[in-house]
Amino acid sequence: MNLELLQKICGLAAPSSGEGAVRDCVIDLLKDVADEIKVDPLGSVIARKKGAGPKVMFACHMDQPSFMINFIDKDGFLRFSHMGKLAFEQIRGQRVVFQNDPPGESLRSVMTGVIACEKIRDKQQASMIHLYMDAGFRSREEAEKHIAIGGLCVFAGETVIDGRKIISPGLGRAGAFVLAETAKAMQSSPNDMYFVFNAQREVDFAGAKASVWTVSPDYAVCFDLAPSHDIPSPEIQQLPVRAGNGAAIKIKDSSVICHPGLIHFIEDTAKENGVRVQFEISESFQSGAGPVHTANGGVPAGGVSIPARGIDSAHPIALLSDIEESLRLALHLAQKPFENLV
Amino acid sequence: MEFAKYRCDVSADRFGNVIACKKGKQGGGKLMFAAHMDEIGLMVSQIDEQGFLKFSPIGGCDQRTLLSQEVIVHGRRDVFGVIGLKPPHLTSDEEQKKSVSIADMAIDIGFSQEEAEPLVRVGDIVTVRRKTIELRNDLLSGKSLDDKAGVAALLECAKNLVDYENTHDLYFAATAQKEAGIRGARAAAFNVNPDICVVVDAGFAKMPGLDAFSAIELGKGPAIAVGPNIRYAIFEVLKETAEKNEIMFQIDPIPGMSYTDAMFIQIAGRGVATGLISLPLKYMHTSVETVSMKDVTRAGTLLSCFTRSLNSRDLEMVLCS
Repeated sequence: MNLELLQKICGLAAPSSGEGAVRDCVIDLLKDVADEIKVDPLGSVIARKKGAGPKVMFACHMDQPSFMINFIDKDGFLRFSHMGKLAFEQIRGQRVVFQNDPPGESLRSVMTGVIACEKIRDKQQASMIHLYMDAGFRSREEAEKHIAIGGLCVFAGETVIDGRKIISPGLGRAGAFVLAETAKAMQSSPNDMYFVFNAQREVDFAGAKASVWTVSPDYAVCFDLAPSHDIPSPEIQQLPVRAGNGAAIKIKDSSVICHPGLIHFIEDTAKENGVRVQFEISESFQSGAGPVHTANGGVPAGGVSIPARGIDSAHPIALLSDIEESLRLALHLAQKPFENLV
Repeated sequence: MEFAKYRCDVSADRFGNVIACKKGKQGGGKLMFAAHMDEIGLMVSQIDEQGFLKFSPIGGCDQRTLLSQEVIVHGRRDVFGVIGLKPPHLTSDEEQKKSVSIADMAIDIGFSQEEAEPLVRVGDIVTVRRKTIELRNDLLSGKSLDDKAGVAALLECAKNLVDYENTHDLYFAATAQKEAGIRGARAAAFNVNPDICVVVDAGFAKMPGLDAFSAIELGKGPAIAVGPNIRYAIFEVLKETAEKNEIMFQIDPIPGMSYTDAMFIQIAGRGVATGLISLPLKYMHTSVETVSMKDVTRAGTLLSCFTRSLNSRDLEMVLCS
């Protein structure tokens, strides 16, 4: 597995609506292997590898949980809205990096800040509304030279890969890595393959909702993370996904019940090729398969998920073995005819 | 498939909705009636070491209604099971006061893990096993009458219109996956692309403990809903139709989201003029849901009279009046 590429893709910063860096990277990777490649109005990348069979869409997303500056106070502190499912305790005390073209400067500057909490008497009462960002400015005027209302930022954090695991604020893009590698490695396909790298997952799957219309696929398989349930907690409900047990074939999450035809097709493909798989049933987790399967009069949809812990935190973690199995599965799927599944 | 008896072309769409069509004369519009055919249920999420099946809910499943139920696990073949409960002798006072959460329940099919695994798999659907019974006064009680009673009303309407020559194309949609997030209706509305759609779904009927919240009553006729989810002109036509044909009806004010198929059909495509008929139903989302068969029949009659009243009228004009 190309760990260097995994590190690169996950390590880029891509707040929702500001996915440019990942988009450029994906286009660069696929421009020589795709028959067609285009960017849709929301900024999603749609790469096609032509085939004679049904239209099959493999979808993933490019963005990550992120923040938007919505107010700068007179002392130069920044208030923000968040995009993605982020809880107070996951945000407080984290570092962020801004991704902005500062007014009057042409170069992208890297600016870091911290998320701090107002001093309030009753600490138990602290919540999202008490959080602000401190990037060291002393006045609104000074701040405005570097950041504008609407400016975007993401969690700061090095993408770490060792022999076993990856930790990265952009771990959600492991699906994009799987798709890019699949598109590159696959030989000819019996299917008309569309690899879709969606923008704005964290804004209620806006990118996926739009691109599914453009592609109008006959079948869709969505690649994303899934919450692993092997975390220490006496209270957590026992659901099937376990990090280290292989690629997770999605049966259900809170946005979709996958098409049985696709679930069996994916499972059979894994069995035939000795790919290690498990099943995913997630309860409070949504995926791109949700908006896709109800679009265009119904699209039979399935999913392949990479189990990860701490999905909604600054430092999610996944095991490399699971990413590798997902990649193997994606590659076998892409080269197998999607026939008579419904 | 019952719809085929009433001269409809029946097909399933890609999502799994059943759509029955009765073509009208050329140049008419498209009328659609919809009711969902799914029910709340459970899904196997784990088979534990002792062979107990852990499960997740599909739809708004009330955990209090699951204890001591008989269930059917739809595995490789159907398997009976029960959801058991700790004996009261061994339950502390503290535990007695709380309702048991789904995470602490399990389905017992009588098998060990090794015996269960060839038969039952993670992802299998589970339904409550319940025979529908008749109560006095034409009442029917059982599981999943929300919204099979609505589908029955659609069938009644199709039956009434079997020999009827219609100007407009008539579509009956039995939608899938409503309880999982009103999903099938989105695909069905896209596929049919109707001008007008009337949805039939269950509404909360008055019962002890609910009098203050609910306006509709069992046995007093279908309730014609009114509110932002409903195009006012459709409400008016339905109401006038009921009055003219002396069909007993009630009015169901729904000031916000209706949480029915109408919610997404209304905003499908370029927008659909949507009506909603609430069938008064007691004990919603339990396995003893209760409806009045008279109300179901009346709802079917109301829909067929509604269809007749729109015959040879320009649907655009109906909506503008």
